[in-house]
Amino acid sequence: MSLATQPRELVSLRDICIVHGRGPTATIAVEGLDLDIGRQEFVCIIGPSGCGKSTLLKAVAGLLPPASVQGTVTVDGAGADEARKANKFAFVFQEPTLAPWRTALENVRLPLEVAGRRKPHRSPEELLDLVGLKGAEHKLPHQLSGGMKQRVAIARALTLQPDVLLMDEPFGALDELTRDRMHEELLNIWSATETSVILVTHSLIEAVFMADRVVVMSPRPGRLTATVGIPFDRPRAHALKSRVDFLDKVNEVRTALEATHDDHR
Amino acid sequence: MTITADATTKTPVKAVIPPDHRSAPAMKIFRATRVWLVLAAAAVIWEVAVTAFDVPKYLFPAPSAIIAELQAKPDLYLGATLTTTIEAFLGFVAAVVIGVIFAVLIARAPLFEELVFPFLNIIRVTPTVAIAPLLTIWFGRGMVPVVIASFLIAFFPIIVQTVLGLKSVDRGLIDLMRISNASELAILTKIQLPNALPYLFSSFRVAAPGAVVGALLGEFLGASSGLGYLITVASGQLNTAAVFLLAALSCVLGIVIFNLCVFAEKRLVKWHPAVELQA
Ligand SMILES: Nc1ncnc2c1ncn2[C@@H]1O[C@H](COP(=O)(O)OP(=O)(O)O)[C@@H](O)[C@H]1O
Ligand SMILES: [Mg+2]
Repeated sequence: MSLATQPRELVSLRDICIVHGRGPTATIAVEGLDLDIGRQEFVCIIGPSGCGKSTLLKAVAGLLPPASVQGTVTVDGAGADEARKANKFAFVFQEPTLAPWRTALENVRLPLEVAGRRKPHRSPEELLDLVGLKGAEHKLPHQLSGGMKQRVAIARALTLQPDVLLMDEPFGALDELTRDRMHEELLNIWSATETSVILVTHSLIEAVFMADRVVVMSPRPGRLTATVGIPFDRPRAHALKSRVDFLDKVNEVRTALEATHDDHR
Repeated sequence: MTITADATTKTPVKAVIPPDHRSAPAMKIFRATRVWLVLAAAAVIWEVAVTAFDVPKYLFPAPSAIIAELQAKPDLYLGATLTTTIEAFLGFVAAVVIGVIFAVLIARAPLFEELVFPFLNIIRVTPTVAIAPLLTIWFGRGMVPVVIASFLIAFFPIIVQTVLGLKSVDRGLIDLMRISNASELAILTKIQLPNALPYLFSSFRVAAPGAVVGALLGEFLGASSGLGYLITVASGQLNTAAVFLLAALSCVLGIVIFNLCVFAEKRLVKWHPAVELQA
């Protein structure tokens, strides 16, 4: 595979405007947003709450009514809807969102059952192993801890081998120790796949630790106000979080984030 | 890092595990039988009171008189119980099948909901007592109007709860299905219907005894067999012991059916937190 023959960008968002509702009560959630995500790139989106981060992810995945999304989303040269039909996306929400009547394994298998095509490159069993849940395959969601449930959700998201993994504050509901462990684990899992990741977070440390690039969104209507490249070598380990150059990067992102707030005062 | 050195100066406290009286064999037997003990005690008091105060049998028969009535004509009473059971069962099954089909249409097709719901509500608020005579006029005396009356009472709780179960699906799960390019049929069968299962079973707790009440009502107003029919005959003859017996048989039928539903619910919806709590 020669990189020269492929466009560098996998996902490209142009002039995205997203309006919830119609008429006088409509809310402009996102306005005039451009963003490109490269192949196997890990991008974190950070921004004040209510600025349209979740809305943006849903728009990328084609989950919003077409009438509310303006602008163009292209994935690998195809439109968003086409990309969705080709199972190019997968989603992880803040809540694990598992089917409570299905075991961990059955939940991971669900996308395969409904997509009804593509032989998995990794079986659901392998994926559960990958996220560290060997032995919990036959447990029901209510028998699993919050961290374990979120791992099941991540394994499920990888089932159809997505090109783009969209994650909306996936660790927001976890305790701090579990979250720290999940950061490293997700990076390991990601490096073992060929997936691009767009991860929404409001944790500065999470963003800087995980990302190749952190993009900062302004308060609603959301648009991109800054991009901070994160140069640290991979694989990244937990110890990175206490390094001085790491904290400098965190401060750089913090300053960019504060600047968007101040502009709107 | 230092840990305060209390451990060396203070004897560590050990937690006391409370003894488990509840699982002692005698306690288990008592808990399993106490309902029957209370019922038996009530029957004894009833028997003694009726005899002591010399209450006339046509007003308030003693338990012994009621049992004597059953012993005198066991085939009649057990046959009637069987008839009512079959009619209630048919009405209930029809209510489940048609109720779930209607619920799916209502939950998935807004236009169907808009057009059909007013009619369903009209039938729902019309008392079955008012509809039952019509059923006899249309279908004659026999099993059909009884099964329909049973169906009418069981149908509404099932449809209401199932619609709720189909609609109260986690939005995120639906989004995940769409992202996996799932068909609408897959969303229905893999997400909505399993989600509605606990709601369906909880509706059975109302619908199944309701089916028995509907069957009794149908027999009461126009039939020539079954518990409800025998009640009209016995009360006409002022055979109060028979009326009590028939009421007791109806009651037993209702209790058995209710418990079958609870049993099925526990076996089939293990994952639902509400079921865990009751278990
Ligand atoms: N379905 C919706 N209908 C109307 N308004 C919505 C809807 N979803 C989100 N919004 C509004 O759009 C804005 C952006 O929301 P969201 O994308 O959830 O923000 P974030 O994820 O950044 O916190 C908010 O003001 C929110 O109230
Ligand atoms: Mg959000």
